[in-house]
Amino acid sequence: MSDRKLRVQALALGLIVAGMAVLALVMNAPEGQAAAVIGLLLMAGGMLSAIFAG
Amino acid sequence: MWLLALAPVLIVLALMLIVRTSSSRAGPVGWFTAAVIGVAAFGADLDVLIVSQARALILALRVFFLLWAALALYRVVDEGGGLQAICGWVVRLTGEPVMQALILAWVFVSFVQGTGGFGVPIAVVCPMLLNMGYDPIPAIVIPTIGHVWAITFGSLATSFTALVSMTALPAETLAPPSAFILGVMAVGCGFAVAHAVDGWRGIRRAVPAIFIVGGVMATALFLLATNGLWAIGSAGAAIAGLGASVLVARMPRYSVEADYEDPPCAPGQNRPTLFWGAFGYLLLTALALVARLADPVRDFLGGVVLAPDFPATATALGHTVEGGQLQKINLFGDTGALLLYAAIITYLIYKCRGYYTPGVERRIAVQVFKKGIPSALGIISMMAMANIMVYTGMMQQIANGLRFLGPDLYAFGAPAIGALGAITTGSNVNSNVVFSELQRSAADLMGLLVPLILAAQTAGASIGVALSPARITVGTTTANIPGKEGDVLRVLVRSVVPLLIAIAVMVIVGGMI
Repeated sequence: MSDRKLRVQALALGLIVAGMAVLALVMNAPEGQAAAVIGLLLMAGGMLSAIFAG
Repeated sequence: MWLLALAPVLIVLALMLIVRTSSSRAGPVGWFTAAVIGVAAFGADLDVLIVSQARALILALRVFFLLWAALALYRVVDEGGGLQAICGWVVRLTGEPVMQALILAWVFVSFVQGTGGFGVPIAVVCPMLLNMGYDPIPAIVIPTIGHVWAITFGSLATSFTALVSMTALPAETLAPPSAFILGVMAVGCGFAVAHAVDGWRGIRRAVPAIFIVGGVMATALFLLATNGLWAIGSAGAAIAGLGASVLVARMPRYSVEADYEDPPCAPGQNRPTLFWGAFGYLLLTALALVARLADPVRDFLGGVVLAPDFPATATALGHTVEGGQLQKINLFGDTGALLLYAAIITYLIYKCRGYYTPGVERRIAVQVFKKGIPSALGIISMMAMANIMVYTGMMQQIANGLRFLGPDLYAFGAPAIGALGAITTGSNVNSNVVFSELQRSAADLMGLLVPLILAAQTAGASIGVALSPARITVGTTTANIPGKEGDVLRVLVRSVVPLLIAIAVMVIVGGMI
């Protein structure tokens, strides 16, 4: 496995975990909808990075 | 609706089976599919997505902790020559070819699976069989079928942990049927190995060894798994099996002198003895026992617990999921933490005793990173997808649709569903993540014994792992026969299908009892 592919996969994993962590932090906060959208976008970015990691 | 609910799983299967995509790419595609269908057709709102993904994170963190720590311990021991020391001891036990293959490619490979896993058993044992004169395809096939029984409670029970986490059923409920089925499978794997080595003649030579060693391993697995020590179920059973093998190898029919020399050491590097070679795993076993059985230690390690409070959710179509502290991670007492303690202590001792060559820290870190990242990506994306399916009611919808099969046919096919999941995702963990909730829902609806069906799920998934393109590729790469995956698969199918049928029969009989 090439170093580039591994780095992109590591980035993807980081984005997904960060997005999920944001969701876990705001799941009990009714006013956290905006942050939740950012969390979901981070997750989606991570998933896309994983798909296109090569 | 039924087909829509099934679409994420079908897409993941198609990508992995037909397009040959890795789980780290197929999982994210499945996640997008599940999210879009969940929102558009199953009435999921933002709250449902938030809670489902937060719960997936807690599930994934626990498996990651275990996965990375298990990889670290394996690399720490292997870099110090510990695994080589154990291998040398195994091969010197007997020169009888069938018995040698059984010890190496049935018992020892299961020990490696118990402690390491993640494709490592084939990568370790296949080159040893090649050195002993086996052709490449048998050198891949024999250890592959030899260790499938040890996968569920192997890798420090990562797969079993995933099964428990996904179904939220107590491990104490799921362990007995799983350990029983896998124990019987252990004996079956012994026969499959003997047959692969020397046909029916091999089986005739191996019968006493298979029944004695297999019986010991099956009993040890059951006792460990049903007494809260499932994390070391396969490793402990394999250690017991190695002990039994030492005695069996002294039987007159197996007592033949072995011809084996250790590979040379690097200048300035010391070679570990058998005790120091196995030290990391012995220490882990001791830590697991103390942490489980000594109350003061258990209370001390259990002081810091991560247990988020999940809110209840409801979709626009009325599917509800209850809230509460559904998952918890014991930060200092979890199996992952014990593995990490064992890895650190073993590293320090190996370093002091001069077992390492310069630059070992970087090599360990690089190998853990290279193995861990793609696996983690596949696991987290599949867990995220499966949780969307659970929280939006898609899993329930699939289970409803499977009722047309009827309870008997469904029970017979339950192991095949687990196997299908593992073939496509390349891992028992992923199969359990994707299908265990579905199997639980279907078993509930049809009035089947849920723990038995879930045991069939994970046992079937163990077999599926052997047939997965990812594992076969590890073998063909190790044996240097790239492109021969189809040939390996054909031989493997002949060996493992009888095991799959045997599990299905056990499920039917178990359901009647």
